Amino acid sequence: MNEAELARNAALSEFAVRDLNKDPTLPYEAGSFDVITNCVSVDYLSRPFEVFAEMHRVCKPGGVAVCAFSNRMFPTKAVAVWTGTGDEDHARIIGSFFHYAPADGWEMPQGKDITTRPFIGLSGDPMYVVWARKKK
Amino acid sequence: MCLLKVRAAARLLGPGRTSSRLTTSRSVAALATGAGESSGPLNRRRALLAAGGAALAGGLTPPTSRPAIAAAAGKKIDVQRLLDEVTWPPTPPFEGDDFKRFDESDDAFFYDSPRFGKRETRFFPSHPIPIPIHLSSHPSSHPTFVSSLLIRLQSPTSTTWPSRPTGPSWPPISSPPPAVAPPSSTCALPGSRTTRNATAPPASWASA
Repeated sequence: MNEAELARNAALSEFAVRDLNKDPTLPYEAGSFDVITNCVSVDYLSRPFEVFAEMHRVCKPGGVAVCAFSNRMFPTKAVAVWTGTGDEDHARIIGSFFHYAPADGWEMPQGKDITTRPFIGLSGDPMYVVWARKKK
Repeated sequence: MCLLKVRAAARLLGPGRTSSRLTTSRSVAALATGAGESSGPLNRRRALLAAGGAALAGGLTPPTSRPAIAAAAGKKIDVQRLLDEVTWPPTPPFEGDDFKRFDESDDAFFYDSPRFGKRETRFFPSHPIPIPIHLSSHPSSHPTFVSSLLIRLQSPTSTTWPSRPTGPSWPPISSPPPAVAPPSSTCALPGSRTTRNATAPPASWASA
């Protein structure tokens, strides 16, 4: 997201704009976050292992990192392994990021289908979360 | 998301999706017969992605086809089970091209214009029957239905696309691949950046 978009989010106490595909580091101190969220953006990370290692660094021991994803995307900017696979694969792709970055850094990744469907028989946009807790 | 981009993506991803499915199916079959260890690097990655497929779908159903089916039936995916059934290989089962993007130009261009609002489902009043279409949908999610629907609706004679209202909720076209760009008279939105260069898809896409 760009600065104008982030600035409109009134829930933020502060924000930083960074192209994580150029600089996959997070401008925060180690162990400074209880919860880290990634909302429908993990598919645009071209250096996901470095980013997840950074998430692990800035996360407090026992804290959680959550990735939400759907089947919507800007396909020209999503990475090839994501555009070439489906929702179930995507859950495992994110799970693999937690598993490998860093090695033995997160507890077993967990996941859930949180799709809301307002009417019986009508399917809404799918929405899933995969998260993991940083080992203490 | 713009029609142009969706159509381009549909064309781009259509063939790749097909071969990807085949690869995935082969990997599932390889796992089922215990031959996974002899697979090449590419199949090694597919093997991970399909690792739970055999248990979930009887072996040969492409994993990527089930979400659409599940969604249509109103059933949810057991994401936890998907994760629990994976046996992670010692090293990440990805290859160099797996994290390449079709548009490898500077992301600053793509994210330059704010995209306020989150509108994923839109109705087209110009069509005789309003049909909801997920404009930002990835064709692989509904490879046959959405793609064919989009192509049908976007044929030059079927609708009056250029007259659709545009505004902040219609993000500009950021990176239409020139090779598949339709005639500008049928799908050019005001303010769209149709001339920006887009890189060719990674060579691996043809065989992925």
